[in-house]
Amino acid sequence: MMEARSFPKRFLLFISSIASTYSGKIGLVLSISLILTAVFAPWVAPYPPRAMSGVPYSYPSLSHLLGTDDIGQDLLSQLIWATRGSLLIAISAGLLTALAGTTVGLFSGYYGGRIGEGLMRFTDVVLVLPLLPLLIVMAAYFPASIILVIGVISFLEWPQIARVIRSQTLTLKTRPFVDASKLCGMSDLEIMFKVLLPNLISLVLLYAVFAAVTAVVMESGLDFVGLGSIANLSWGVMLYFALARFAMIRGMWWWFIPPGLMIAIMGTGFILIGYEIERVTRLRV
Amino acid sequence: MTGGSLSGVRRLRSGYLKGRLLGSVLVFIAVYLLNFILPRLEPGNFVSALGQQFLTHEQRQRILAMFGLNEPPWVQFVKYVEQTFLSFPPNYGVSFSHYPLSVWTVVMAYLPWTLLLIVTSQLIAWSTGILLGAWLGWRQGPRSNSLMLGVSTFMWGVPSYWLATILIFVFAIRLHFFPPALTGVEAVTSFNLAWVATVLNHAFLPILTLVILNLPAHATVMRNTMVSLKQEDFMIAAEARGLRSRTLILGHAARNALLPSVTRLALTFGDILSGAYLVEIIYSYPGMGYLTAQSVFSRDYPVLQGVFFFSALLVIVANILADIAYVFLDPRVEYVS
Repeated sequence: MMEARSFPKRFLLFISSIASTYSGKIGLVLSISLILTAVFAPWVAPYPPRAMSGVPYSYPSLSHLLGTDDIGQDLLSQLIWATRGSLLIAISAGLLTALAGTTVGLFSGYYGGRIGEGLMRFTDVVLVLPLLPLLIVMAAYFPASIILVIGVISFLEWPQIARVIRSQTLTLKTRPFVDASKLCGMSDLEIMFKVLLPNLISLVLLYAVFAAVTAVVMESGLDFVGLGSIANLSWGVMLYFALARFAMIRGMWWWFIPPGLMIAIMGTGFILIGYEIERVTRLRV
Repeated sequence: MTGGSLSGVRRLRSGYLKGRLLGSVLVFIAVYLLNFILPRLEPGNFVSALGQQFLTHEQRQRILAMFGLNEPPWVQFVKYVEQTFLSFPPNYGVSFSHYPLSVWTVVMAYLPWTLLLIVTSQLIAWSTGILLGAWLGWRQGPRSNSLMLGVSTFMWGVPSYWLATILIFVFAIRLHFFPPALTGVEAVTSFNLAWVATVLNHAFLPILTLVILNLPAHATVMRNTMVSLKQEDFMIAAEARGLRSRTLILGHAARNALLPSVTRLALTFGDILSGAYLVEIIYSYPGMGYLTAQSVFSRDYPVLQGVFFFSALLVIVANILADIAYVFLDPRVEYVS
């Protein structure tokens, strides 16, 4: 049945089943509007993000809806452009985590035995390390860059996916359809990635979403401590400057509150979709 | 069920805990090695932290020699093991900014404050969250459930220091309910009621921040377990026996529902720690997070490493405690592993 439909049709069907619930709708609207904002930032933002477009420390007005910062940069434009920086971190950390976690999980679950056990002992180790202190120590020794941030976060987040995928693979590989695929002459790699993975993809996505959100929150934490990469304009960098210039003490809450709110809104949108994908695919299996 | 705790003692020696302890030892070794390797990857960075451009070549070499960084790696490693394992207090190096205090002395001065903050806030968040979650799961009202889901999803993405700043703004700067930072504790020198009152007054907002951040997730986990537990045969049987709902929830369901909750608490302890550190910085609360911020500012690498090392140690200890609790709570554990 599913094979008969073309990819765009299946995708539309998938989206509409996600949108069938209230929280799915909210998740879709939030995530899609954030992605659109990031893609079309140059056209949506009223000013270039780093240009002096107004009087420093100006209050919200019609020409600067969120006011300006200490050097007269438009804060709304910064917020819009920072969507790019933060989504870049979220998506690349999510992808990297999913890739590493799924590969390790599939291999150790499918082959089992000594290698699988060893890999899981390793994930036990990585799973409990405290993310922020490690990130701070690393960032102190190596020059801050988003590649380092994404790398360290992905390194600490992939074990979670690996464990879930492994335990699911262990039960899935005993199902008759796996034997059938073997009899058809499929190789181990083909079985892992063409037969088992499609059954696990919803779980992968759910955990990748959590990793993506954690990445953005942690990156903002690193910015806050002063070890972030300012070259990459993100919501965390905006928060850092808002704090460094005493936005709240000046009573300029419109400077400080929006970036943090955006991080939480992005988290809500992504996680709601993650839950819905999990729900939709669980019903089908 | 009645002999649960007694046989739990016997199970402590069983294979399950052994396997988990082995995992903890591996974590410790990994962190221990990482702490050795990191400063030695780029010894130049380590030295330049002390005074960038002002150092001559000889001075650089002298500092490298002082910290033993110019010796062959294996000699350095033997020394590292000797200093950290064979002496007490263990020698993790000397702090740059608190010279001549050792890393151990500095970290030990800040660690208790972090423990106070985390233990208090997690006890409150966890116990309240569990009660709230059990109640919500029992009632299964559609509106309260989606509200719960919404709040806990939202809290996932809230940066702890952002929430802390807003709470300071509202409660300390605008309303003057609480002091904005933990200053003035030093003014009361002796340990008496006044000291306790000052500390509580100053620690209230940091604790509140962490409770708000962590409570919804605890409640959601408990709620979900409760919902699935309600359909179990033993719950239906207990309900059929006509037991009061309070006995049903607390006596029958809660005990079983605690397991996932304990697991989650241990698994996310690292995240909780990270969140707490950032909150400490905002409130100038003199814990490990505050120490981290100071050390980042003064480029105090040895202390930064000490903070990482002892944070990892805290996480390891928390996980061992959770494993022990798990063995006592779940009579099936020994058969699973």
